[in-house]
Amino acid sequence: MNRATPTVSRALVVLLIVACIAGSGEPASAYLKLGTRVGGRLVTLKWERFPIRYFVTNRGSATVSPQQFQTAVATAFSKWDTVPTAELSQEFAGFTSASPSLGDGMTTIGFVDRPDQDRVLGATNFLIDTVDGEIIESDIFLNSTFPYSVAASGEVGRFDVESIALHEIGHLLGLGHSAIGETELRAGGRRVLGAEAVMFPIAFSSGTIEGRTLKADDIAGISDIYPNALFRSERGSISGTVMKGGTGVFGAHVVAFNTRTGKLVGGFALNQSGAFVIAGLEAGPHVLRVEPLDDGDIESFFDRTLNVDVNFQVKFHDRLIVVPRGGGVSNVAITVVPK
Amino acid sequence: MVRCVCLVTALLSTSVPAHAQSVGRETPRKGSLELSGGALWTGGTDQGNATATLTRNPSTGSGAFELFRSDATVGSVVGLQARFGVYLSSSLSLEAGAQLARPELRVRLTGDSEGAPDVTATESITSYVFTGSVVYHVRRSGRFRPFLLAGAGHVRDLHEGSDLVETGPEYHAGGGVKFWLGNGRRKFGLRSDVGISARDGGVGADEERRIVPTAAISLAYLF
Repeated sequence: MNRATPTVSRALVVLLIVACIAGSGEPASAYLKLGTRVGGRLVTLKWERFPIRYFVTNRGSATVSPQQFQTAVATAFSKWDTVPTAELSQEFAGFTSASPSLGDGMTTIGFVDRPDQDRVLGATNFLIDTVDGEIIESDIFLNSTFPYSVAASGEVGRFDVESIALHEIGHLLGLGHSAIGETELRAGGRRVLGAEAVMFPIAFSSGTIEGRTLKADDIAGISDIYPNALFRSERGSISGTVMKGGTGVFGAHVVAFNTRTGKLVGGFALNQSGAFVIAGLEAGPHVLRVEPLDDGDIESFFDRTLNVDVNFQVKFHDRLIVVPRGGGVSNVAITVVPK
Repeated sequence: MVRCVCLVTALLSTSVPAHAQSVGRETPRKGSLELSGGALWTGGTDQGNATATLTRNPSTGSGAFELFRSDATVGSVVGLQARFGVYLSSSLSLEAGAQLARPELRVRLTGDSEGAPDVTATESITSYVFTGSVVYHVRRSGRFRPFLLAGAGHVRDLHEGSDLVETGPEYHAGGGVKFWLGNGRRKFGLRSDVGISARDGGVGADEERRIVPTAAISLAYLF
């Protein structure tokens, strides 16, 4: 594309990612790369130019100053930066009075009062190049309607800024939601029981800092988008299909469990053939577990126009899949049965 | 299988008559060579267990949220073994050996939080062990020659359907008996061994040393 004529070649695409939901959402398991369809093919959203320069708004919340907020954001960014199998970088460009809104050419992170979104802790949006999926600009807001904290060990009744920022920055870098988690339905919404990915769409309860640590699924996902030499030489993948009655199961969630390390990394069947790929796996034997996205809001993972099949039973694959270093195992065929 | 091999050993020992002494001078001496090959049984091992867990939302309880549990084992297997020995004296020899077996790695999956049926997921492994041993023959002569051996080796395990190879050192010790069938310098015989093999590498669901019992019975040729 001709980057000198952006008004012609670029389109403004806003992807509103409901990143951390306080109370309502869904469970399941795995990392998902954000993508967009260009000329009939799906391209991954990613940054092409580094460092990513970001601004922080000079507006704090009732309980967090702009400086405290910026420190927490910088810490969160550094956790993604230091993933050993990924290659990316960022740079704090300064404070700004601008709000986190698209189209100003600045990637901005800050608090915004959104009392109308009473279950949304934070969200990320993008300006992308619709030709190649390059992220041009991205903005993150944390909903200051909620109480926040930057205390080292958290504060009762307040959401942890670093945890929420870590999740939103994952989106900013191109990650969608992971489904590695379990929830329960309660009056007033769904509560997360446990999650093994920062990119799980529902936040832990207020007062905790459990969301400050990247998990295997997050690390695999970010490394898959921004791989370095170590990732290419040491990590492997599993690909195959999930079928039911002879047809592919779109949206099936496949989790690989490393029997040696206990790490969980997931992927989804992303087309009507039921084809899935799970990358970023450490070498060694893996157990595969397939489950439907059947107990939450599917729109947290996929476009509402897509027909996600949730009518099948959870199952384990009966073969161990051994992932090689720097390679992949393909043609793993998993058959599921209706509920 | 251990019992079977022990029985063979016992039968060999009880079948040797007193006249074995008369052929003692015809048996191995410095420079003699010995070739043997046969079946090798390798015991299974428990590879430990692991639980797939999620970080629990602290407001919902304590401890990790268990998604499911896994218990791994490597099954016992009968494979092939070949050895070549050189006698340094009538009682001492050095041996090089190679073993081939195809054990199965099994992972039992249970207790799924969403009710997935229990399953045992498996894979076959092609396992090679290359060994070097020092063999001390307790009796210097006779048809019936008990021996002790110890040595080290190299494990090379190939996973099924993958390019992944896992290697590591191996150490072994054991003993057995040889029963020579002829009287001349060149003769056939039977050999049985039992032993312990410690493996720091190769396939295993965890990183700990695997200690496996072994037993073998072979046809031997001395020349």
